Amino acid sequence: MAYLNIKNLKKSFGSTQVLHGIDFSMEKGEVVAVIGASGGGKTTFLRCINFLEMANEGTIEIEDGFKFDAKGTYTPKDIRSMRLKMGLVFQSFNLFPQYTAWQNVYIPLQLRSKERLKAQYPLFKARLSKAYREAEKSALAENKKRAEDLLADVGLSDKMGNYPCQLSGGQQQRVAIARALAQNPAVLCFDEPTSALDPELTGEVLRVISELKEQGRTMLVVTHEMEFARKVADRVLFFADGVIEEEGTPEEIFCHPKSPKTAAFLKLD
Amino acid sequence: MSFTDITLKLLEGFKVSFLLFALTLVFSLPLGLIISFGSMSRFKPLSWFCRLVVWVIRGTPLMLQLFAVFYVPGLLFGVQLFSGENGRFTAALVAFVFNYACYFSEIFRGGIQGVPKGQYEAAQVLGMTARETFFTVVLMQVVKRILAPVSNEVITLVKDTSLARTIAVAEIFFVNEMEFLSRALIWPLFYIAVFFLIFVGALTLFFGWCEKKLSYYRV
Ligand SMILES: Nc1ncnc2c1ncn2[C@@H]1O[C@H](COP(=O)(O)OP(=O)(O)OP(=O)(O)O)[C@@H](O)[C@H]1O
Ligand SMILES: [Mg+2]
Repeated sequence: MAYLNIKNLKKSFGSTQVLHGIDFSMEKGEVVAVIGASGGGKTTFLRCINFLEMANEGTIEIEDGFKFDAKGTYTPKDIRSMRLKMGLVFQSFNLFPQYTAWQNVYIPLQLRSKERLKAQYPLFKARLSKAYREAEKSALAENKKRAEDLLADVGLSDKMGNYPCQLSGGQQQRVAIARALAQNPAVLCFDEPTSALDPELTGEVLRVISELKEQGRTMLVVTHEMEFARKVADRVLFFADGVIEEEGTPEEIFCHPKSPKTAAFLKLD
Repeated sequence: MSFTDITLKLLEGFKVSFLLFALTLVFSLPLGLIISFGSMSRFKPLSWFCRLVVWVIRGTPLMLQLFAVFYVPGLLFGVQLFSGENGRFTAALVAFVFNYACYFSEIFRGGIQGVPKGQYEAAQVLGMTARETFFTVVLMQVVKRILAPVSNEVITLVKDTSLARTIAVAEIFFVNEMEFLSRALIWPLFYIAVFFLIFVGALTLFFGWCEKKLSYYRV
């Protein structure tokens, strides 16, 4: 079985069906670019596999992670634990404005550490123990360090204390990437990570994504940057009208598209 | 009567006005938050009920509500809810708390619904619970959004306390009437304005300071 396995994923909003049964799988360490015309369902696809939308039909499975079946019933807790296996970077960054770059990465990490610790020490009395306090302290130090390291990885060591309003769009997006990486997701998804940026700022974000590929991250990137898709992606999906119209290596898609829709889209672009 | 005597008497009245002001805030802010949650509830009957209450309270004069709270329990149900030494004050407080809670609830609702959907979604994909999302992500953004409308409402409340006079609560205007107006002494009425101006001035400075404290981030 592949690392990420999606079978027959369907999603409708009211009476409009947006995803018409997506079958897709991905290997560990693979980088897949998703391209396609506006309204084709790319965002909806990412939102479904991050459980921001609940698919109406189909399954989503991560090897050694979880298996989601749209027919099943899930508690909010189940859904949260599945969400943690996936990461999502938004087009509009969505950093928390009242926190510094570092806090944006650190606070979500710290919340999850606390939850894990509380699960280990379920009794209130146990939480007064020395062992608990020690564990809490070491988790805190670890998270602090981890947030610093992640920001250093995206080249923002010197901006850790800045608030989002004091960062450029490219810097904000890099913080958002560090924040998404903090949970160590099995698959990191990007929804047009550079389309809200000025052209001169897209490079720094795309460079970070390329570096993540070198580190072996599994990534699914919806993008309008054809150059980027061609150079960085191992595989390209062309989405049209809620189905994967065509998929293949960048060479196959960009140089020898089989589907007329793909050819038309690439010409327009 | 000397100027000092008059000042002291008026201060006594102002103490009651201030107490009404402070206690109204203490109770109406949390109650307003609860009502705003109620009116945003996905459980429709609750949300309709809350919106109905808000409509009625905001749609009728506070003075009417004061009379209603003070007289209706006794006249209609024969229960003396607000008797005793502090009865009138308590009745006024109840009316003020409900009235202001409804106004605050609408401000809170606007503030909470104004937080972009992306903030909730970012919190969700990071695995936060609804509670964590509210307290760590949403709350401070709401505080910043509602500071200006809340400060307006608070300043209005300072002056609205004088309405308690209608059910004979011994606030500053009532004291003035009993002690000075009844002796055809007019100028203390204008002297009262100084009390209000100083108090509102202090509040204005306080809210300006809060705004400055929160200016380090933009929502
Ligand atoms: N919450 C929603 N309610 C109703 N319709 C929706 C909703 N979200 C998306 N849609 C519809 O689903 C279709 C696919 O939208 P989606 O955002 O997934 O497209 P996309 O491929 O990401 O497009 P773009 O390139 O413009 O980002 C669109 O027709 C859109 O109107
Ligand atoms: Mg989209």
